[in-house]
Amino acid sequence: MPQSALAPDDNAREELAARLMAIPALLALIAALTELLWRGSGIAHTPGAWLAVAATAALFLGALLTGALRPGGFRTFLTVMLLVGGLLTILCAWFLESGLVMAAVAVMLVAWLIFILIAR
Amino acid sequence: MKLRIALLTMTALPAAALSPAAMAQQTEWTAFHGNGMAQKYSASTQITPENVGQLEKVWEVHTGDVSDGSGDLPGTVWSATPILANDLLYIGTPFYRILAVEPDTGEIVWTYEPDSTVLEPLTQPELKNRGVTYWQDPEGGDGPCTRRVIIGTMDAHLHAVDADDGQLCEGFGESGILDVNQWNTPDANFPLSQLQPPTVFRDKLIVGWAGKDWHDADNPLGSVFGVDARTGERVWTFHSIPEDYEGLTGTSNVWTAMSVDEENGLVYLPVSSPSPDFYGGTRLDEIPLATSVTAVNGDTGQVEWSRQLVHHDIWDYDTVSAPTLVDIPGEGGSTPALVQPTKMGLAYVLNRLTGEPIFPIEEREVPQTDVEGEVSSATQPYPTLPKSPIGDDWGGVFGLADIASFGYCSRKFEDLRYEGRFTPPSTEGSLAFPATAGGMQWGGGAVDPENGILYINSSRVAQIYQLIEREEYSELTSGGSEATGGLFPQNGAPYGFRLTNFLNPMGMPCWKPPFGIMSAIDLKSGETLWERPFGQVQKWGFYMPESWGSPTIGGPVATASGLIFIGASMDARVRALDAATGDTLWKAQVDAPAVSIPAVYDYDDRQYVVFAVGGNSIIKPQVSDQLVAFALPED
Repeated sequence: MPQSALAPDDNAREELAARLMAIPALLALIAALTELLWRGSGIAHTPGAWLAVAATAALFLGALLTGALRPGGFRTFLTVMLLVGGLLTILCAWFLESGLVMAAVAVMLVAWLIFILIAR
Repeated sequence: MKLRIALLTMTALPAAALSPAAMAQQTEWTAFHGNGMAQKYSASTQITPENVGQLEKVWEVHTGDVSDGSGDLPGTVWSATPILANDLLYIGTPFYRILAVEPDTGEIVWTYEPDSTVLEPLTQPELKNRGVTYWQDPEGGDGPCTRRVIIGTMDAHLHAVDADDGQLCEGFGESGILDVNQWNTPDANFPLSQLQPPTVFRDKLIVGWAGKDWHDADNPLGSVFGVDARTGERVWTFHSIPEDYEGLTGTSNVWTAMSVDEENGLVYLPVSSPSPDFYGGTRLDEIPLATSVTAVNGDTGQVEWSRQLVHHDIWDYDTVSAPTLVDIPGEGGSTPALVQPTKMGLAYVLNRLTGEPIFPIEEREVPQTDVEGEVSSATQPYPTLPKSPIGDDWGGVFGLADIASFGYCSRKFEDLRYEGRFTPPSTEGSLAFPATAGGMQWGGGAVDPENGILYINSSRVAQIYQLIEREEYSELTSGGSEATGGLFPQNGAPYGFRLTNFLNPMGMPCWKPPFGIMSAIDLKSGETLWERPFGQVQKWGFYMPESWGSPTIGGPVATASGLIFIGASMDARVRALDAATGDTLWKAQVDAPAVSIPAVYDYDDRQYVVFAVGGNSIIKPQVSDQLVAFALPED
C-alpha cells in the first residue's frame, strides 16, 4: 500500500488537532464547574468562578467548532479568539488561584500551537 | 482516659488561674483567650514548624445556626472561641445555643436550646455570638452545676447550664436564666446585650454589655457587673460615667472580653467610647474612665487605677480588646505588664499593678476641630514604643485604584480634611486613618510568656467621617453598619453622621496596601522583630496579591513550638505562621472567614487546632456555621 494512502488527509489532521484542543478545554470546564459548585474551593458561587465556567465553556465550544469549519476568515477569527480567550482564562484562573483550570488551558494552548502548525 | 483528663482539668484549672508559670504549661483551652490573662498561648508542642505542613482536617461540625440575612432572620456573625474543659469542647452559636462535642471526634454529646430567645437585631445589625464561658466552682465538689457553661443573648440574658448534661442550673438567676437588663437604666433605649461571654474571676462572673452607641446621645451609662457565679446575684457594679451625665451621654461600656490577674486580685476593663460616637459637644466635661484601660478589684469593683487612651473620644476608638497580661522577662526579674492594643493601631505597654507606662507615653498635640459646639482635646497620648504596625500616616492615594476610577480617589481626597491620626470629624468630611473598623481589633494579640514576644494582627483601613447638620440630616434616611458605612442620627446631638468607606466606585480601596499586617514585637525592648502583610483580599472570588494583605477580624494563638495559628483574614483561609519569621507554613480553606480566635489543646496525646468559621459582613458577605478541627495524621 502506498504511504500516501495511509496518511490522513489535511481535513482529518486539522480536525484531530482541534479535538486535541477540545479535550483539555473540556477538562478545564469540568474543573471550573467543580470549583463553582464545591463549597470548599474558596471561590464557590462567586462571579469569578462563573466567569471561569463561561470562559472554559466558550473555549471548549470554540475548539469543537474550529475543527468542524473549513479554512476561511471565520475559522481564522475563531482561532485567534481561542488564543486570546485562552490567555485571558489563564489570567482569570491565576487570580482565582485555580491551578487545575490554569494547567488545562495551558495544555489547550499547546494543542492550539499544534493546530496552527498543521492548519492551512 | 476521660477520667484522667477530667481529673487533670479539675486540678489544672485553679493552678493555671493562680500562677503565670503554670499558664506557660497550659495545654487546655478553658477560656475565650485560652486563659484569663488573655495570652492566647498554648504550651502544646506536638505540632511544630517542621511538621505543620502535614496538618489535616480531622473532623467538622455544622451547627445549623447560620443566616445570610436573605430570609426572615438577620445575618449571623459568629466569632466564638471553642472551650476545652471538663473533657468536652463547648461552643455557643449566634442562635444562642450551646453545643458540647467530643474534642477528638466532633460528635455532639449534648445541646442546650433556650426555650425563648429573641432572634432579632435589638442592638446589633446581625445576630452575634462570641461563645461561652466555662466556670468551675473553686470550692470543688461534684454535684450538679459545680461545673457550668454560660451563654449570653442579645436580649440581655445569661443562661447557665450544667457542663455535664446541658440542663439549666436552677440556682442561677431565675431557674437558670439571669436577666441582666434588670440592672439597665429605666426606659433605656436598648437592652444590655450579652454577646461576649462573661469573664471568670474566682467565684464571680464579670459581666459587661454591648449596646447601640451610634444612634443616640442619651444611652445607658457604662457599667460592669460582678455577679456571683453560683446564684447570679449582683455583688458589685462598676460605673464608667458619673451619674450626673445621665441624659447627655452614655455607653463607655465594656463590650469585649476582659482579662484577669488572679494572683493580684485585679480585673482589667477595656472601656469603650461615650455616645454619641463622633460628636462630643454634648459631653464636654471630662469622663476620665472613657476609652481607657481600667483595673478594678475583682472582689469589690473598686477602681485600682485607670489610664485613658483617647481624650474626649470623637472617633469611636473603643478600647476594643482584653489587655494581654504577661510577666516580661528581664535581667533583674520579670515585670508584671499588660499590653493594650487599640483601634488607633497603637499598643500601650503598662505595669499592670500600677498602670504606669513601661515604654514612655507622650502627650502629643493633635489637629483641632472646626465644628461648632465641639471642643477637641489639645493632645492625645502616644506610646513611644512599640512602633505602630500600621504607621502614623495613611500613605497617600493608591495609584491603581485611582487609575481604575479615572482619578476618583484623588479628587475625593482633595475634598477631605486630613492632618494625620486624630484628624477630627468635620462637616466637609475627614479622612480617618486608622478608622473605627481598623487598627487592632477585638481579637487582640497573643504572647509567648517564655520570651515576652507579642504577635498581633492589625488592619489598615481608611474611612470618611462626616458630620451633617440636623436640619439637613432630617431629610436623610438612617441606616447602615460599620461594614458598609451608612447614616447614623446621633439623636440629641446637633449633627447626624455619615460613615463612608474610602473606596472607588468599583469597590477598590483608595488607600495603599498592605491592608492587613501581622507583627511580632519584643516586649522586652519594644522592638518590632518582623512585620508582614497577612492574608489576602478576595473580591468576586479573585484573590489579590499576598503583598496586599487583608483586613482581619479575630486573633492569633501562639504555641510553645514556635507557631502562630490564625484565621481572621478575608480569604476564608486559616494559617499557621512561623513565629520566628512570619512565613506562612500551612494554610487550609474553610467555609467563610474564620473571624474568631482558634482553640489549641491536647487531648488523648494528640494536639488539635479548632476554628469556629462564621464570617462577618464587615470584611466579606460570606457566612458559615462550620466548626473545624485540624491535627497531625495518626501514625
